[in-house]
Amino acid sequence: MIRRRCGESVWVGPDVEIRVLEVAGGRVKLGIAAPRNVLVLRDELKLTEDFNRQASRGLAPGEAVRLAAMLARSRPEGTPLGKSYSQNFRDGL
Amino acid sequence: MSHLQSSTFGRVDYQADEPFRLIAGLAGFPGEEMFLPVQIPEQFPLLYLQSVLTPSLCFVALPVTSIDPDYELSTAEELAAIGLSADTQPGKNLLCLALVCFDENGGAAANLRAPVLVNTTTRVAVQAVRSDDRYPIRHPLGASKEESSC
Repeated sequence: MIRRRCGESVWVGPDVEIRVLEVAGGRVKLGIAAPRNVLVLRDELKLTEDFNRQASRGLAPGEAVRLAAMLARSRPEGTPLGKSYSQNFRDGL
Repeated sequence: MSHLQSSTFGRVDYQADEPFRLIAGLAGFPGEEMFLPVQIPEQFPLLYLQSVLTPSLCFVALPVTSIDPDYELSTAEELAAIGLSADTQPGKNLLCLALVCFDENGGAAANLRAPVLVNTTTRVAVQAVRSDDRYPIRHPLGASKEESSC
């Protein structure tokens, strides 16, 4: 663990610099200087990439059918979903 | 009429204006920009997103409002990128989808943190990865699952 103040940096290896630019309201703004070949991703984007890859692995038979049935049972009557979603499809999507 | 080959559905015929274009593709799939939405009425509200380019690439998605009727967007930049104003909420001009993944035990989870926003008028879409932590990346689906491992 390394403690840093605003304006201070840490280096990761010889050519990646991470500088604290701003600290306010529980948020930190970081400036990252790195070579073009170094991938810099926000955590949520990395996790979303992982999620998407897992979601792309194909479906076992019946999985989607079971999920649809479960959702149909759990959906309260009169939720706004049905109307707007159906309308989108009537409009062509 | 165009057609594509799908590992899930076989040959699918579609009108040229049916697919939507994902700006920059999906996270982790940068080259995949064209997806055809496929709906099976019996499986409503599930929606399949079939890649036009890759037969084996097909996602399952759900409208976020089918998971959380009060879901609120906070993705002004991405909405602007698909030609919608910052205060647009899921509805007439905007379809807001959460991708779904299944685990080996029959559980499923939806990504509410990074919805796919589709402008239903222009058919331009973007996967908007929220920077706030109001919604989880893996929201378990199904009352019997406390937590999905998927």
